[in-house]
Amino acid sequence: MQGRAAWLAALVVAAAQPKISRPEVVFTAHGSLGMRVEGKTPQLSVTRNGDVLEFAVQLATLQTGIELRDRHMRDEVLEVQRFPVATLRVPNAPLATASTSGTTRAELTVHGQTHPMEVSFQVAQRGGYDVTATFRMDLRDYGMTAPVYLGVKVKPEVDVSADFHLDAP
Amino acid sequence: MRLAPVILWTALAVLLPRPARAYAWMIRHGYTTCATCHVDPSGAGVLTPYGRAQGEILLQSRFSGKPEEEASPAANFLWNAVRTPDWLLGGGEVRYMGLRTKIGDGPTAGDLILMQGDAAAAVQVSGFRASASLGYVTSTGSPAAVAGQIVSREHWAGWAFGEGELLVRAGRINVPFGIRNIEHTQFVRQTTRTDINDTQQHGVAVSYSSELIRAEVMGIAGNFQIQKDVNRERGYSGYVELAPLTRFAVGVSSLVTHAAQDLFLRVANTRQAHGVFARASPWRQLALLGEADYVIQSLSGAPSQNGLASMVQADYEPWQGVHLIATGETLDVAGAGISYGGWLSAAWFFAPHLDIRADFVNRSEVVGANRYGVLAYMAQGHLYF
Repeated sequence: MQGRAAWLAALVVAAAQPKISRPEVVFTAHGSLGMRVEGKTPQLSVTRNGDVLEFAVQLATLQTGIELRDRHMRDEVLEVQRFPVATLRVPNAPLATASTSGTTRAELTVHGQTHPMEVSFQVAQRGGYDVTATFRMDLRDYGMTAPVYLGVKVKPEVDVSADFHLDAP
Repeated sequence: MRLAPVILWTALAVLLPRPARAYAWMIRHGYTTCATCHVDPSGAGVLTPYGRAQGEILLQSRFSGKPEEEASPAANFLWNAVRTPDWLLGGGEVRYMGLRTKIGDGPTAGDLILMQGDAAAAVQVSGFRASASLGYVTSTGSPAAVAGQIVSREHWAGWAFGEGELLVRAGRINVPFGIRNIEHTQFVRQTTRTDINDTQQHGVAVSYSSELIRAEVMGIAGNFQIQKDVNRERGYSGYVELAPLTRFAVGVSSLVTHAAQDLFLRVANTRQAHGVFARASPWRQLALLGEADYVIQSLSGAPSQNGLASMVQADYEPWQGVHLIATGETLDVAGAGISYGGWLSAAWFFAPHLDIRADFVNRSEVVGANRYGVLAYMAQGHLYF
């Protein structure tokens, strides 16, 4: 619990004037025959809504390194025209000040659907907070279909990680 | 004159390169395994439908200015002129080369060579897998020859388990070892006899392809397309490659074979090769390949010959389909002196199923007590269908 509190405290401290830098959000999808698809974006933002911190990712900016695959991902899986943003809502918590790691409950909204999510995190104090958060989501839970392209399947379980620096207020 | 066959073999290898197709630099696109694009899980040979599409989407220069376009129907077998059922995959390759070479102070010689003229097919029904090629080459005496100038580089059948990640197969199979590259005359490929041109062996192989691990081990029963049983090498070969990152993989290889009479050296020979290899792409335009193999030849009636063969290669793709390639290689066998070479190459995948390539090779090779300079200029046209 102490770790959880510390992480959330770091977020709350920063949330007084939320400012995020050096962000990178990465998803890793796992395909058949050993294929691995990695998509990245630096388009991560944070806002404070009352007692909740809300992280937002502009999904149209995700890039996997292959333009056609990006188009398939945007148009056929994420449907970014209808659902351009994914959000992770993290409840507020008491202050604490230690570098730590742990897990916390959050709410993930993707593809217009919201489900609770257990998020693992690591926080290191370095002129603010270096934060790494990871979770695994299942595309099916959010009404999405795992893609199949010319016989090569992508599994519905997708690993997501975010690395960013929260500046101290 | 035990070295005479070595000299002949080396000269032939330089003069008669016949590359086939396998692109280890696809790691620049995050493809660490081969099985998504090739029926052979260790790479080369008949393409899967996914591999055919990537041949246009990722390999070929795209002139439309729309890199997100789907592959055209021309990416299919025979430019889509013939539609095969889903369980049957067609393929084949033609590679023609103009070559000029100069060895030592000798004259410059030129030649036009049909390096490859193969038709191939593969079958995938449920877990059943089979693949075979049949082709024609201009030279005779190929270890892949089934009759005269007719060659069959591979023909195998097997069963795939799970979603295909585990494959057990038997037949004539590319020997699993090191980096499966097309430059089969490189020291690492020549010395270990593990190219995809004609050094395939008959045997049984088990391969595994996953996100983290790619591996294959083969029990080698010998090449049954050479006539004399005493010339057949028996033993094993295999590799394990780990891919901890999307664009980085590192592996180890091992091979031990024995022939009662080595096909080239004409005495009993136990060959060993044990090595490491790596592939990396620090950014998309650049792919780096490297391999180093410790090679041991235990010849009957002679001391063991130990040596090291190595190569590093940088493949720079400034525009999709255009490759500028620099390769360095070394070979040090039996402490006779280090042979070394450099390749400067350029390749252009300019149309569906078509690419051209030019190579300039400058080698300094030690044979016996002598050192020879070898220059080779090669221009190739390659078509797959």
